[in-house]
Amino acid sequence: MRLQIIPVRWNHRSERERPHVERRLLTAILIVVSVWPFPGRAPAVEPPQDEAAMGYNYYTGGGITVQGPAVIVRKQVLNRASVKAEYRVDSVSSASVDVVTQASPYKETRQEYSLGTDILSGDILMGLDYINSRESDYVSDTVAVGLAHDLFDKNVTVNFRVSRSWDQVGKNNDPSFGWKGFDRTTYATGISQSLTPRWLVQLNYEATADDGFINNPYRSAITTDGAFVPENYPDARTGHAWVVRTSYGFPSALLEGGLGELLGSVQLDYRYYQDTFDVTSNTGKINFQFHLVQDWLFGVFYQYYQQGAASFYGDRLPPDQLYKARDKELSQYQDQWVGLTFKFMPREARWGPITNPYLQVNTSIMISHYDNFTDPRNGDLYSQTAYVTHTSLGFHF
Amino acid sequence: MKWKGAISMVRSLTAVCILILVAVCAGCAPVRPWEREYLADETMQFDPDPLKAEWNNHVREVLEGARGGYNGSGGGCGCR
Amino acid sequence: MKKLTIVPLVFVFAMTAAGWAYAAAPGEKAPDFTGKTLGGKNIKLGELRGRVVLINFWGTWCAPCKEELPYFNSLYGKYKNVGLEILAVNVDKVRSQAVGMSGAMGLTFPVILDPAGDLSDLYRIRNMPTTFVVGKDGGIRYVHWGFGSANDPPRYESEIRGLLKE
Repeated sequence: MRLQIIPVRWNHRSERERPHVERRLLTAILIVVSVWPFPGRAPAVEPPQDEAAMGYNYYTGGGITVQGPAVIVRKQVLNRASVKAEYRVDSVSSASVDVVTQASPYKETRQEYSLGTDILSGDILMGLDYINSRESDYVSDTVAVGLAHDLFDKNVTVNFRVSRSWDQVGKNNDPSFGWKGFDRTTYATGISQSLTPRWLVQLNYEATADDGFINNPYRSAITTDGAFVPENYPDARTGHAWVVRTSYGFPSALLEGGLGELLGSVQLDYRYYQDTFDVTSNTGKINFQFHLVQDWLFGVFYQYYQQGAASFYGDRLPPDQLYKARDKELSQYQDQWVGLTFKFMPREARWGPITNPYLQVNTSIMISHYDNFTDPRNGDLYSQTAYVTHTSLGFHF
Repeated sequence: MKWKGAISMVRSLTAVCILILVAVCAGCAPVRPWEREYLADETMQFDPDPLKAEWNNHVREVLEGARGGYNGSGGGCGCR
Repeated sequence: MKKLTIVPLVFVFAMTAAGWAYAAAPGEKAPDFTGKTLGGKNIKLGELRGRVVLINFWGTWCAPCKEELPYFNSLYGKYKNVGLEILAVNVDKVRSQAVGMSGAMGLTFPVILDPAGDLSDLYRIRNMPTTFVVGKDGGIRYVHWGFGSANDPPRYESEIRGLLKE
């Protein structure tokens, strides 16, 4: 039995049909996207800059270690389009609390690649992405369409994004399990507004609708009599996230009668989330970034996350309860995440076609306390400390 | 549970569309195209780094019950 | 559920309708101005009648601007003796940044400072960078929005050659 790094599963029933509202809204949005009247008034402009970056990701905490490289390349093709390719490998080594108490430690590799294209027409940027990820017991295909429209001299940007995933869930060492289907649809919309030359505000809304085999095939719930029984989740879950975030820049001391160069910024964001599992959460984050000395950027952030449990979650559950979950991701808990960034970016460097090179190191620590999830090994309320790092270098060309 | 979820999502999406419509119609342009010097700075952008943002979002999504809300572009140089 | 389809569509059309006036456009006379260069000299556009003038608006914070300036340098070297003038209007708030970058790039044409944005306002700039190609008669003939290293150089070449022949 294993704790999956990718959430959610599907128990497919052929007689299940999509709700009319979701299908129609998805159709409407797709029609809008395909017949969007590209405004002829705007003159020729260029799509995003060519760039390449490679990085190394690392996470360790709660008995799980995930690490691996990632690479991305973006290149302009034809007149107004750019293509992007990305590849990432996650090597997972898991001896988490669920794994060691219900199964045995395991290692696995997950590969993900994505291809995307961005087309710019006037003040509208349309993006199309395909993402595939696979590991021995989970395959996922995702298609996403996004639109960003700049209005009012680019003071306002309106975003729309729709994505659809078709996932297949399997179970290692259990051919009788077969492959179960799981779909996810996300609808996201948002608006950005520049309030002053150094103050930006953004409001986002995103809905995530899951359908199918949502629970983990490996995890068990524990009843009040101490028995291990399979988890059972509803076969649909819809969540709503509302985010407000702001970026406020502060210039250096008054120079030459003007406002001076930008020293750095403070960013604040807040998210409220709720879903049909009755999970509600609040996330607040503050992030400071400074240009320290020539060519160096320094950042520090703090995030607080608080979540209420799903209605059918329990550390110990009545045996006759229909829906049962013991995934700590659905429990009541809080986490605090603090991190630092160091980035070296010699802005004037130019080596042949290469410009704007950078090298960065991000390191952070995340401490989680669970209010109603216990460690079966000792009966104590569970908590964990995780270390998350990301290192990368990149450039434009 | 599925129907209730879908309808409430559609209602929320509709409400947001209307909100955006109102905001856009009442829209203002306080920052002229040549005044975007600060907005163009990397420290003013939300997720300028795709690899780093993806990794952090992935970690969040695995550990936290909440999903989504952090896609969105805006600000920046506005240069083409 | 019809209204749920209508709302996004109405929203879409409203967004498309939201627009602004264009920048100073081909066919108009290039608004006259007097600008101060980095070197402290005054340059008046009206005194450049009889020459083909490229008026470019740029900033040190603008990536495409940093690509086009070296190209303009080579263009200037090629055509300045046969009637081309380039005026690069810098919009940075801090003078030293403009000085630093133009020095590093070795720009040979005049760089005019416009920290308050008066010139940008006069020319109704809508995008950074923007370049106006002004003919010998002082009229705006072409407007370039942005800069693409693949597409723009051939366009500039043919436009300037054509105007120099007039």
